Amino acid sequence: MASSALASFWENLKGLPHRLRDSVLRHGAPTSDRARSQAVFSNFFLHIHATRVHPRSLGLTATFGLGVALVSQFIILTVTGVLLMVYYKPSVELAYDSIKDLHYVVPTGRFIRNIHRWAAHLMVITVILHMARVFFTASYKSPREFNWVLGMILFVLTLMFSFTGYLLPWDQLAYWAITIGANIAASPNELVAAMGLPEIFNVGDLQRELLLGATSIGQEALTRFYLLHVMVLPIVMTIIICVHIWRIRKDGGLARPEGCPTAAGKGVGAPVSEALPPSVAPTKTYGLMALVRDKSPYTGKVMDETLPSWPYLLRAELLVFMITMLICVALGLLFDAPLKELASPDIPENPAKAPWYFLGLQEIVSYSAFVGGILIPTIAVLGLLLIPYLDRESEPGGVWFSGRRGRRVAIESLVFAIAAAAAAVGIPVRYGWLRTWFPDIPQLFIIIVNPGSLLTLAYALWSLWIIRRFNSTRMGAIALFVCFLAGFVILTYVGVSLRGPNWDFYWSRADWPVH
Amino acid sequence: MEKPDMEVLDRRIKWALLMVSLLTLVFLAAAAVQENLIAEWRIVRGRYARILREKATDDAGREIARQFENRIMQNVIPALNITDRCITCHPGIDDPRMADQEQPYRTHPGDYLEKHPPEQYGCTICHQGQGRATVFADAKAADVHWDYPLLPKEFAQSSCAMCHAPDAIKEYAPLAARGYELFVEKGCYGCHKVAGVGGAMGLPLDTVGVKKKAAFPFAYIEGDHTIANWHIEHLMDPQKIVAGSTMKNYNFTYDEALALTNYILSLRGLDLPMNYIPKDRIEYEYHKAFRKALPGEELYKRYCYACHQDGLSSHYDPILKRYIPTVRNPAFTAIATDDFLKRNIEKGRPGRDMPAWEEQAGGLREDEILNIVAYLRGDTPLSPDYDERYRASGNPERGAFLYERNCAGCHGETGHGIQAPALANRVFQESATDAYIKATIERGRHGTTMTGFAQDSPSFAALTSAEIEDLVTFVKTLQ
Repeated sequence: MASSALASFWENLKGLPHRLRDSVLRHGAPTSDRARSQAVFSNFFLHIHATRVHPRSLGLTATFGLGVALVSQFIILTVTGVLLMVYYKPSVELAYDSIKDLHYVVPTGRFIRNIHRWAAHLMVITVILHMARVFFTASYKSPREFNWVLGMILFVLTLMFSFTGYLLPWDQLAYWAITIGANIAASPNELVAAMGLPEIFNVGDLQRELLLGATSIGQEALTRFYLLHVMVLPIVMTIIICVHIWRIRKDGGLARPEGCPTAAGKGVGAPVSEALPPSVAPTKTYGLMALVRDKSPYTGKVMDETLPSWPYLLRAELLVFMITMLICVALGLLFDAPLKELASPDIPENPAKAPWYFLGLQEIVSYSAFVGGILIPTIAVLGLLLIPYLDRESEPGGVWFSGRRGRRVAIESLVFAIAAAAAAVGIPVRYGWLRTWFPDIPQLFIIIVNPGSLLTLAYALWSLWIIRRFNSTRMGAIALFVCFLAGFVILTYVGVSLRGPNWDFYWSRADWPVH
Repeated sequence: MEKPDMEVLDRRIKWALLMVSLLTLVFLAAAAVQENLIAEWRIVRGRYARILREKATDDAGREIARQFENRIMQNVIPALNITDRCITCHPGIDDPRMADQEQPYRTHPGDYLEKHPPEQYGCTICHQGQGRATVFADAKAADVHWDYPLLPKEFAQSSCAMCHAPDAIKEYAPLAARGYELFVEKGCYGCHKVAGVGGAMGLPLDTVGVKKKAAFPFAYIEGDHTIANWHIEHLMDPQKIVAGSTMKNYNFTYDEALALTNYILSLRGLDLPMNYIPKDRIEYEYHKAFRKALPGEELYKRYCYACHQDGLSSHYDPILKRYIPTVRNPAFTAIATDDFLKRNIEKGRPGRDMPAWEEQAGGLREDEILNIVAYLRGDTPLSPDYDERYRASGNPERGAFLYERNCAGCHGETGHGIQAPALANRVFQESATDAYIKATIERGRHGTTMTGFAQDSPSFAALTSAEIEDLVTFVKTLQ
């Protein structure tokens, strides 16, 4: 007994490597399509994919791989972020020095911080492009309305990530960008003041203090921004990303135009006359494996022209991941992430600029902190959020701009949006605004009627007019989204390149007065 | 889409994957090379290792060469909040054999390091610059985002005077010592407070040496945009650098401006642990705190001269755009009581240019102010016909009429003062007696357009004594 137990122990020891592997993977390398489907299905990390994928979804122009790129960026940011946390000290005395140490002495510290910074910028760009792709291919339509909402939440979360991360180095850039943020939070005060209400209505002060944890920017603000950045937001974001991806499957995979099998008929091709031999009869409940929607197998029908996700989809995804990686690594090697002087409350940056993706917002904030910083962004996000519920025309999903008519609307809207945004910026620069023309009008009027709010109104009216003109809510939605994108790009460009000290207009940075 | 297409697509994906992965590896390899092989400090230290081997002529030298490692070196001094990695690329500063080497390998000149061991003081405490940097351009920090770039050599003495007493450093920091002398001689204290003593027209200078680069306006600086050069150009022509500045223009020479800048840059607030403060400084501070009053003449030079000059005549100041009245002319001191002088020095003229000098304001002690009063008085006693007890009881309405015609042009319609002193001033009203006002109107103020009104003058007809009484009565109502 003892010797045979010993022998079996010896056998077990010898068999350890492959048993370990088998216990982890539960099957060998899959050789048939079905086995591959099974592999995707039974693997925790892979099962978020459908087991089979339509070739159309693999084409470049279907998605440009933007969703996968975002997940890749999120992974890169998480990994580099965790590495940065090893050295970063979230204290106003130590934060700046710890970044300097990361830059100068921590092995690969500078490289990792650079990657983290550029990947964050890249993620903001990609999330906007992804949103545009989903929108223009009408992929937000039923049954994917809620996934669009989740996407909008992820968009806002991405911006919150950037904003909270911006403060952490505790340099001048950080300090004054957060000052702008804090002032925007306090901006309802200007409305209260303009309406002549007593100070008790100053919800702005409350908002500002909630944001900063104190009446001024200091350790409390740094602590809560750090907590948000490394803990609350990552957890929330991870959960919502998972739900977002899960919903893609539950809502029938990527949106496809007609002619491709629909969600309802997913995995089902045309009926064939020949009965299949019993050997290929399903051994599992294909419904569960998302091969077909119902619980019982479709007999008498062959698989459609879908491909197994393993290896085609996985390989494409890996390619997108590696391209993202390449961009981040190249940027990280070639360009250093900015770090200005130590934060100094007595030396205001002039101009104090928020991160670039908020500069469009800062441009309209320069007209009114409340309208530009709170009201218009809220309207914009709500407007985008509700698009799938307001435009319920059934559309072939996956077709860019929903055809030629949509393309025409998009181009017309682009021209209109650019002209309107340029006018909104140019007219006040060239001719002044209401206060210049009518010195005595009430402040409340100035707060509400400003170039930013008029631009928003113009965009809204344009979209309504498009709905009427084409008798289509989808066309109106396209118009609105193009306006949003073009307005965002133009205002961001103005904020980044054409605004100098005191937020004055300069064609070139060389014209800035020397300080 | 047909299957063959898929095969083509899949093959492209595979190739792209291979290429992108290889390219990523290339960049990663480049990052590894950049960090591990060609980092600036590694190359610098590699060369130093060679120099060490060349210089290893005895056992000790060979041992030093053998023990030398190519890694980052730093001095960390928590008490000073200093982490200085300068010695990474300046490893020879304490090796006397390196005196003939080029920078960055040269021995530190002088015996400074013996008295200030780098492991106890670091480097940036004296030289400024970015101590944490391991790249020379960043350490020098001339064009990078850093508040305190490396101090140029000609301003290094300011760091001596930062800790040491400015009057005890003549030998090893003559420039900074000369700067301090000039600061005292030229009467800078008249407008600028240092350690609580000084006037209030200019900014207090206690921490001017740690003012950050971004806080200086460089628009009109012609030379280098450095903090030190800002001070030099500003001292040589204040109004050119800061439009509308009320800083006095002394037409300093470059050498004087250099010396003064060395002193100014030494004013860094002395924010150091007690055990880092040298004995001479403690002695200096002690004697400042428990000082004996200097002679009046000396105090006058420090605190009054900048505006009042020798005080013997009034003069027009083109920068302040007003007359600065005489304070030592016998015609004035003959009618000004000691009490009047003392109270005006103590309280100043609120709202006007003359600051208050009492201890809680300008930092002067009572005995010092009395010495100044004695110096102002000199040998001139009060005029025998000056009667301090005189009280005017004229007609204020007639006085107002006379005031408007004779006085308002310079003293302002409400007595708020234009180029002449403010009469509606609280301290003036409290300290100037009727007798003093009457005497001043009668005799005028030497050297100003305020002529005596007892006789005719080119601009004004003489006033009768009754009219002067009316005027005094009215002036006392101003507030």
